[in-house]
Amino acid sequence: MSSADQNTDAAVDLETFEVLSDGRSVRLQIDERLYPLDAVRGAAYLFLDRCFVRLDRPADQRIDLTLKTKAAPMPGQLEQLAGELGNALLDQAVRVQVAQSTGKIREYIMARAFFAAPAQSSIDQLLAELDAEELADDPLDIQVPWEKGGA
Amino acid sequence: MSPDARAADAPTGAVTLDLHGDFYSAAGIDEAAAAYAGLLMVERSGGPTLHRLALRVEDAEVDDLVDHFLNHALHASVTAARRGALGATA
Amino acid sequence: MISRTTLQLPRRAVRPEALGPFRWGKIGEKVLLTSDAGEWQLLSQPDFALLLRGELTPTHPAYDGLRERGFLRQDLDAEDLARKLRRKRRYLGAGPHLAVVITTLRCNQSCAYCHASRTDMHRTETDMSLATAKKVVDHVMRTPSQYLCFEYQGGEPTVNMDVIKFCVQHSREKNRHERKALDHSVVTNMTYMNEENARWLVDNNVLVCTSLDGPKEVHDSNRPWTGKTAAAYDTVTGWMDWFNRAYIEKGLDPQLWHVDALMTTTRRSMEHGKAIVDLYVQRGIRNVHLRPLNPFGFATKTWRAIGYTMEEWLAFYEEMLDYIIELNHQGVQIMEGTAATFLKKILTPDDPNFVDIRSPVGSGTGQICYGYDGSIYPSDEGRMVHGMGDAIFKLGHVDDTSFEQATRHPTVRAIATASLLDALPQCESCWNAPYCGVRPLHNYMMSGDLFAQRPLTPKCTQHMAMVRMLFSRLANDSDGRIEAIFRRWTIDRPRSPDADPTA
Repeated sequence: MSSADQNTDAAVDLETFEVLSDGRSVRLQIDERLYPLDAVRGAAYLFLDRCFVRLDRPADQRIDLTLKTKAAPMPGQLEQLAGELGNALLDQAVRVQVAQSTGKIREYIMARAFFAAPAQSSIDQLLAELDAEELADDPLDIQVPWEKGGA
Repeated sequence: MSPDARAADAPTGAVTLDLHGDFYSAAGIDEAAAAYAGLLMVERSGGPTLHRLALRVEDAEVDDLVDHFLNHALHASVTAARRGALGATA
Repeated sequence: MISRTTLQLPRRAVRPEALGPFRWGKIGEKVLLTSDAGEWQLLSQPDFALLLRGELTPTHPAYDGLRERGFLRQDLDAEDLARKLRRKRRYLGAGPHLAVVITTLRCNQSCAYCHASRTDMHRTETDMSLATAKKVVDHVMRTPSQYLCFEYQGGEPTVNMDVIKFCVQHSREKNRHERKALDHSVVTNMTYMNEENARWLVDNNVLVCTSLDGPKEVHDSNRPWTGKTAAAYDTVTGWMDWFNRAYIEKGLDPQLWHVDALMTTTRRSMEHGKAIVDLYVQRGIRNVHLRPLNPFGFATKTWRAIGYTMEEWLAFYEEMLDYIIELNHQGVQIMEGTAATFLKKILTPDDPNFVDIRSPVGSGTGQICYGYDGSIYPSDEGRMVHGMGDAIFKLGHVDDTSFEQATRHPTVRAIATASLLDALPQCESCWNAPYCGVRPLHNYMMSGDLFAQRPLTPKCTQHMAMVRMLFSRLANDSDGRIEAIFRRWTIDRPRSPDADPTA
């Protein structure tokens, strides 16, 4: 998945990043109080295929994320990369927020699903119920085997 | 821009890098060093806050060796961090 | 010279306490939300913004769907989600259900893309012995799985037909006590088939799968037949016809009992895509499985002649997918195999338990592979790596390694850890995680790293693109006709496992 695959537009406010460029690489200066380490890692990881990625900590609560192109950049490519990186960072920050907020719920669901399985008869009953629901709800007539109906 | 990145462009010779322990783990660096054995000599010291790396390019035919090594070290470190967060071990 | 600029980007407003657990990503102009249990919903981008902000009200048309799927915190039914997730991951802890048995490495074809570590026909020392075959059957039948499929591979497995016959008979004998559902399947190039063996396979209800790469010029080019002037294509199709006639004569349902075929895509195949699909339709095969080459093993030597980039293959795949959908619109019954696997994950409450596309991958936990000498591997890829001189994936030997030792081997655990999507960076937050699966052994063969840098792995590119193609078509399906076709592809009609003719 590229950064563009994960980015989704749901904008309200504007976020400002300081960007440094030297003709071969771009560096975003990130405030860790706004962007947790997991979000920075997540964003950085998405660029491993296209760029050489480097993380540094020049000061407390500050992270520098540098992307260096694997070949000499095309005109405008570094500016585009900086934009993609910024968007990836914003997107990853949302993902971290949602993951943290829903983490306990997921853990509970996983625990109920895999570590507190009811007796086999209950599972069979459950599956039978789900199957019955599926069969009852067949508006597309998909239960008709191929050889007995048109596609 | 980065003095380290500029140094990494040099085809041969020694490079010294400081990698912060918040992003790069000792295990991740060592895994990358093992992957690039024969191409790149890596000596790690310091840590856990700051890893000091002495690198020497052994195969000048391969471009951007130090950068590839750093990508691998970051990948291995991030992967291990994610695994550790879940408590998932082999 | 260093330049300094500022970058201003729109920031999303989020009220996470209003949200349930989900992942998301863009599909065209829409946003796709997916849950751990594989449920999904497409939203417009403005609606997604409303959802994130917690401003999507109960009167909104998308609200009920989001609530039922657990994407909203409001009325979130954790027990229901747990039940769905348990059903979706029923394969966890079930044990291997696929036993790949390498009866021999000998093969009379020398295909350009062969990964099977084949040897020439005089190398009889690469045949499995009957004594080893007995140990293999005894070993794998300890699996806790109630369903078990023996898949005979090679080399060309029918070169050592005695071992196939023995395994079938011995497993059925043991099964009088074990009472598992057994299947037996032989993957053959048909070029070593004779009437006696063919008759035995039909009489004993052994499923037959062959390789058919396309029309004669494609098949014969891809699959040269060592030491023969006869064409492989004529032989393969001739035997396919023979088997299909024999099934009908035996009174079996030809819709269920026919020779299945697999094809591998070379550069030459890509020039004949529609002709390949047409051939499968013409021969009554309902599942064409378009597979890209694996760029390792033999193929690396001839990659320039037969290979292509993943982007080229995906363009070919998309064109073929649309052609197959178009044929379905015309009433032709044909599906694409990998699409069907993904669609079962997307459109049904179950998982097809396809060992190569699940989390964790099935190597050692869903399948197990036995080399001709009794060596045990987590999958056929592990055996191939050993064939290339690297024993890293060998789990032991049937002489001295119990089934439990093999399937709980540290290597199996490492493979499971390396393919657990929740534990992998990028995968853990990817919208495709409920449907995808990574291949650690493939990664190892490509990069020497079980985990591999996710954005660099071709399987990531391939799976992401293929599932995106499916969702794109579902997202633009105003009359529901595409979904009806896709749902038809998800229906399995099993051929009564273990039809033991002697039982």
